[in-house]
Amino acid sequence: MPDVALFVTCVVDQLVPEVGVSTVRLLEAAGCRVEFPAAQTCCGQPASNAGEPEAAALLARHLVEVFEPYEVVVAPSGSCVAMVHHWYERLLSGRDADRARALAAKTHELASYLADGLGTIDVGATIDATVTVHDACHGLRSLGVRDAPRRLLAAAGATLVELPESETCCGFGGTFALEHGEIAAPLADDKLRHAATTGARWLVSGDTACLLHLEGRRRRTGIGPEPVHFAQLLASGLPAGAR
Amino acid sequence: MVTEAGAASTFLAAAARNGMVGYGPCSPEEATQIAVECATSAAQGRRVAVPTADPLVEHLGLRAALAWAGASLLASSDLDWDSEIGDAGVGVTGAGAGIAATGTLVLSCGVGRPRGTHIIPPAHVCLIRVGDLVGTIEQAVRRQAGEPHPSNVSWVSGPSRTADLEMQLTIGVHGPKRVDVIVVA
Amino acid sequence: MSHGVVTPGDSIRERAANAIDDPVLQQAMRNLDVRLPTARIVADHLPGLKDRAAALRRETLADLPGWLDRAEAALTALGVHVHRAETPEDARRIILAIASEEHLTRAVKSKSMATEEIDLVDALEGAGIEAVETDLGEYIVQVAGERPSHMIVPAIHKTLEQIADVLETRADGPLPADSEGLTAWARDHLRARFLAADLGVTGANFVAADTGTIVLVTNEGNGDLCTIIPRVQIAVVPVEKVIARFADLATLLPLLTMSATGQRISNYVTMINGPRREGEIDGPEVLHVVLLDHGRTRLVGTAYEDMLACIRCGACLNVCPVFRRISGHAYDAVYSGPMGKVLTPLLSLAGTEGRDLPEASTLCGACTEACPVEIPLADLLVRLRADLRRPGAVDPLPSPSRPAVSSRGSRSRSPAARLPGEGFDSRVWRLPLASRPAPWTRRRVAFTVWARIWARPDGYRVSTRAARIASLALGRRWTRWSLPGIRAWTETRDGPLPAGHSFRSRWDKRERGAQRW
Repeated sequence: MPDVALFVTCVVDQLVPEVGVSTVRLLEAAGCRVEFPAAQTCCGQPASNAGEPEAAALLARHLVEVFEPYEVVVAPSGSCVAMVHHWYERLLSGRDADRARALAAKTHELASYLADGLGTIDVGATIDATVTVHDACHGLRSLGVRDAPRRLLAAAGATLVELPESETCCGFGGTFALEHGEIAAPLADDKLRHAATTGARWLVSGDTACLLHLEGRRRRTGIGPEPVHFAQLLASGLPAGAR
Repeated sequence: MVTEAGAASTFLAAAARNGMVGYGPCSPEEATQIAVECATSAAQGRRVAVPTADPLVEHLGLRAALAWAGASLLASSDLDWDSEIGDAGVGVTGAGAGIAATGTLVLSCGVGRPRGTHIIPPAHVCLIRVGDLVGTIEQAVRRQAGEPHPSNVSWVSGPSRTADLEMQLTIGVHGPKRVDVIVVA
Repeated sequence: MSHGVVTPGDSIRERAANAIDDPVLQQAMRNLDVRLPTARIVADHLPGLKDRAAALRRETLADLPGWLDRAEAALTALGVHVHRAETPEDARRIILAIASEEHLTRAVKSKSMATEEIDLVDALEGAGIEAVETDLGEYIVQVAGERPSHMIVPAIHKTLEQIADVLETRADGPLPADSEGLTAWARDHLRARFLAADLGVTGANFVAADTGTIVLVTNEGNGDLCTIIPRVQIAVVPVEKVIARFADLATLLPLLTMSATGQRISNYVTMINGPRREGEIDGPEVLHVVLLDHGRTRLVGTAYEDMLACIRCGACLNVCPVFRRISGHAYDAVYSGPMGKVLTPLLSLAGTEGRDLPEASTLCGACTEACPVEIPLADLLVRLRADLRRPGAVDPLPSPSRPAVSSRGSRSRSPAARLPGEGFDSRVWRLPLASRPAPWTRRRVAFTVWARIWARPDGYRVSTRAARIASLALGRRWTRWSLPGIRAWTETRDGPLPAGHSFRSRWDKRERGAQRW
């Protein structure tokens, strides 16, 4: 029974804690013992992407320290895990960079940890719905997460409909979504319109921030299926009674 | 090892995909006859531009055959080549090499083999020996790298085309609108 | 500059907004969708080629001055006049001097981004030389008084109706708004220019240092015509176009054409080995090559060296979600799309151009993935965001020979399983990020204060509590209010509000034994 430290991410912690709760339920359903290191905060990606590497390094160093004692770290976000994998060793130097590499080696995105790390395709959930999957960029391109969420959802009985241009960015892009709303919103429209053509009940993805951007837009336009984190959807199909 | 017949059919299939009209592999006599038919029909009464020192054209006696068929020739040795090439109806050349995988003709220039024959007139009739086909781009580059470099080598893989207008494939921009390629066995 | 303003605005943000509000532009840009899969076609059809090409490009960059000398020697041996131009002004001066010496009056041009860089058409026309772009797309934008909006498909921003309107200004009567008719008209119209030209201006896709071969890749055949008909040819060649060996074309040619258009080979590949020789009756009598530096060699040995590996295939433009929406003119630069966002500020000798371009990226990484020579474009954008805030940051960074920051050996994946941008050991990360201090701008202060607070668990808890209490009082999870700091968000999207109970507070509840948490 592996011990897993949950890296919940600040976005989930503050904005959609339900995704964190669902993550815990899924990991436990897969037989993990979940710990939550309470000292964790943010991975620092907003600062790094904004061209403020010194500020990002402060947060990176903190996260490395918080998760250093654990064997396995899992986060419900491809983007935050990609930050640890791709950027930490570059933001930090010397011994800190070595520690960052060690953290990256044991830090996993949730879907790929369940499907590939544990080999648990069937978590015991039942989903009776048509879903379409948006491949969030950093999980896809920095971590290679593509099949894992699809396999998990299919094993739960969900009907998968491929999303046209599933690998095209939704337009979130972190600080980009705050600074370039004029481009971010039409890109969200493209994604939602493509999703609408699938007839799916849910637009599923693995990054909460992208989903909030899509839902924020959908609340204005009314177009497209409801965006939902795959953890939340999958956990909703678990039998009741799990703690 | 690729057989010559295999190379020819691969080449002709690729050439067809590129929008060229392919013939053969055929005997030298047939090839000459097809080339004459293609050239006279493409020329539409205008002159047929033809090099005077193209090994394959010479080998087949194609200049004489064209003249015999009544074509008005513009030979590269003619003094009015420069002023007339722009009005020629078709250019006839041999290709020193061809690439089977991509349907590409490799045309080298030299004395008696002007650069403009294949590209200035609105149609191009090209002959290639099956034995001069190589399999891939890589083989063609390697072979070319090992030989003396003529002042100009043009690789031609089909009629002139563009997708500049709303990405619609359109044939015949500046170069030939029609390319007939005849594989000689 | 005579180039008309197509997408107005003082910043990338304004121009992007205007581009998105232009329904005809949006309609035209959908035509580019067919090019979306070119990167995938490369991976499927030419496995292994990317790695070889990436390595070949770096081989030349590792000793760019040396390969340039070798190329110059090979070209000179073929009878080519080689010139070195440090700046666009130098290049224009050299070319106008040739034109004047040779008494040239009518130029035809094939497509070349380098000539866009030096505004050559304007310079030629200013000197009384008629200069006509002959690539169909380039001709359309020239007649319209614009710049190309895409390096492979220059008029992608226009619909057929608009193109017909543009070309009608040069025609005797109305033109049909269909591609066959417009192409036929352009063929006839430009044919006369070709036949009358005494100067052919080209770029070069590659120049082989061992043989001095100048390689032009086109589909229309205008490259051949520009080098066959005019008496004088001038090729404007950016220094990074040099490749070590003619034989490298076996890798680079198919990679270029497939990445650019999805073709296994372009219709015309023209290999020029010097001017016409004794006894030949066509081809240029005089052939000049202008090697254009324009800030490039100063990038060698810097974190940005990889950008010089670019072969101008346009694949990164085709896959970029931002480019596909805002089109090329919104970048207000010669080069657009992801590679343009990186290259424009790097080539700016004054240090003033394109400084806001790197911000206009979602960092989705589609460009890095598509790049056939493995330029880590998304990483370069992030690095530029940091470096452009530092004075003189685009100058060479200190000591390229500094020991590697990372060995990149931490993840052992088989080459086949490699992720985009992971394949090549890019220089972008051999130099430490933030190697020089940034000035204390308001933005930097804000990020630093935030990071200092959030790097402490108690700081994080206290700072988030206030927001959560406000949100609890509202009883809502979404807002439409245009709050300071998130205005650009809430103008177009509802903004998420903090949940009343954070995950950590719910976890605490669970730790205290609650069944429902």
